[in-house]
Amino acid sequence: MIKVENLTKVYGGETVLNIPALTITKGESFGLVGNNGAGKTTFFRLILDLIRANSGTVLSKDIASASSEHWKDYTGSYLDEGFLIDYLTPEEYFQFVGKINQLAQQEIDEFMISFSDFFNNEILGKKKYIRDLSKGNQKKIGISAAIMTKPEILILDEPFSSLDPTTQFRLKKLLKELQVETQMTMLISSHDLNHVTEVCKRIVVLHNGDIVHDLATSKDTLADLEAYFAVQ
Amino acid sequence: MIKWFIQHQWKQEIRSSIWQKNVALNIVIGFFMVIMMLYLLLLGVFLDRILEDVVKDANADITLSKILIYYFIFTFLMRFFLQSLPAMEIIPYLHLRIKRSTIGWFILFKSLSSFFNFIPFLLFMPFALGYMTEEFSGFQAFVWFSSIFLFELTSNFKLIYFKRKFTLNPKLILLLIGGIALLVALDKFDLFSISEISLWYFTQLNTNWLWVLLPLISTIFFVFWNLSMIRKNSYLDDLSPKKTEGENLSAKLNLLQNFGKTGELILGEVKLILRNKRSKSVAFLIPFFLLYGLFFYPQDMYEDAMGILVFVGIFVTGGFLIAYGQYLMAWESTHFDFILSSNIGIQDYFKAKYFLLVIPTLILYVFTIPYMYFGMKIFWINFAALFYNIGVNAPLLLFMASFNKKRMDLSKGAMMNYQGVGVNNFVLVIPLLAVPALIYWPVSVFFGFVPAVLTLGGLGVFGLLFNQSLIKMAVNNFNKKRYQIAEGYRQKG
Repeated sequence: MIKVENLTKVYGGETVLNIPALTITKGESFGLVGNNGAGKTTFFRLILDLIRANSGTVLSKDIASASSEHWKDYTGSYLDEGFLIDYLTPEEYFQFVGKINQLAQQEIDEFMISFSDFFNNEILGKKKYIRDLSKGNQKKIGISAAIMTKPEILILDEPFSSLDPTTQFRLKKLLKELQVETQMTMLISSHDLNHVTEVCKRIVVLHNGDIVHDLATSKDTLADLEAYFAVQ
Repeated sequence: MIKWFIQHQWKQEIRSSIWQKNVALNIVIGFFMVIMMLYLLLLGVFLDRILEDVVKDANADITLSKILIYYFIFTFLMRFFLQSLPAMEIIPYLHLRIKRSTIGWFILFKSLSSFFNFIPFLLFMPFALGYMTEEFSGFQAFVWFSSIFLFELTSNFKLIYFKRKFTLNPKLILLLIGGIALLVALDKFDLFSISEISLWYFTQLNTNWLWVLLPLISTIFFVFWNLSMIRKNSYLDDLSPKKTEGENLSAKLNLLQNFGKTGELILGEVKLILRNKRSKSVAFLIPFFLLYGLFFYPQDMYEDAMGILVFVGIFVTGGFLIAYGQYLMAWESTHFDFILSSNIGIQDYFKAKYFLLVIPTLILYVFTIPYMYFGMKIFWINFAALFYNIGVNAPLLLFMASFNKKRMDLSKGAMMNYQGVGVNNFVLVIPLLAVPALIYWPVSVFFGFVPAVLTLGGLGVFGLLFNQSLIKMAVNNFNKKRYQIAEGYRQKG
């Protein structure tokens, strides 16, 4: 689904990301962990063609994401507030995202109903603009808008941080259900080792831009990761 | 403590990225500032002669005394529009071990740096030193000037109170303008004359210096009034920007949704314009762009220099196009990553931008038709200018948009706001306005009026016919620069 070849990114003479080869197959749930500055967001931005790679390519369904816009048809993503249109109400934002992805009005409405638990009555029908909502609620909007279109690839940067505990559990459950039901390929970065090992079947550890571990999740993975980061 | 405040203030100024990154822009702005100050100073130096020339049967000081009250009203209004309230900046200090009264003094102290407080020194100081010293005495001139300066300070501190109480909205503006018109009318028809009050006060001042206490006391009053206000109201929920009221106009434009992705994008952008302070203040300027013609058309001297009329025509019909189009993509800089990564084709995106420039221009054109009153020539020139604007200038703006890489903060007003502005914004205006005039002028000199207008309009029609390929060119240019643009838009502050 996603194939990375010789990917490097350099900022001010310093290599912040260097991935010689990496393949993510369809339906895989890919968790990315690493300390601040490890290159997680940089990697996601490169996949989404938001920054230019110094060398190498990201292939999405065998097409370089930098040379075609085709990947936009089947990729949903939420990295940060830069993905929200803050002067819209949440309803208008969902409407907008739905319409540009050619969803029918009915699908958009159904989505909003099905997410009403997740939103916990704090988002819909409040007549507030997104910029006037709390950080946690903004994040909920971004994540759910990315999921709304049922994309084949879902990219989320630290989806669990700044969410309340209940929503964290709901989100985990939702992501796991989506994996089973739709074979969605997921790329999720997180600082919370608990959550990410629970949701992802494969964990990759980045350190200063290099992949230092690439593990299939088992019952020992969490302990291994905790041991690794404790030494760091 | 005040020492720290001043130090932080100074650091904030010199470390603001506009200063550090953009020397050329500072030179341009600095140049305009110096020119403006020179004008004010020149006006000040010749004020006595100008006044005696305009009102021949009265001494300059009498005439000036009569109009000073209007001056104070005028500067107060200008302050209302332009002077910002130093409120947000105190938030980081609230939880520290600093007395609220100290913070209050700091806010008041800081407001003194407003440009309006310096205008009396340029405009009235020369008059005090020259005319007043000669006609009266050095002491009286000093008292006279102090009184004017203190009145300005009163209005400075009064403004802090007013700005906290009222937010700028169209109703308030109309009310203010109406109130002033009423005062002028009452004065004109000798029903109630505020200029006589003004004259009376300054006459008293010249005989008894103690009258200077009036503005002094009012200044002190407003200082302490503000201090108690600040002490009582410095809580986060008072300081943070007001929650925006719902805006429903754009929700009614649902019709646009029938036009697919492009329609959806246009609808989104209409919401952007109506719901953000900065874009809204650009929209408020539109009537002024339209009225711009009134400065030029009644004057015969421009009748012959016809290049000027094209310049005016482009501006009048394309005011919105130029003001909005300059920042075409920068308006969306805060969510530009979304634009790039979501399922919006760049081609569709640019097409929506194109319509967003063209449709309002067509609507605004209708309002310029009455300029026909000043002659059919003006009508035809404006008609050709309309075509030039939508045929040539609109695609040109799409193309130039990729050169603007500055993130724009939409939550601040547009007046005197240079955040997100680069030198290229000043440079860009030149080809937009001057090139059509330069095309028109030689043709009109050698071949006459009709061929010149046809050339101008023809270029526009030509551009309209090929608009697809022109948009394509803009898209290609964008694709080459998109990473730099996105990176630039991510840089805050």
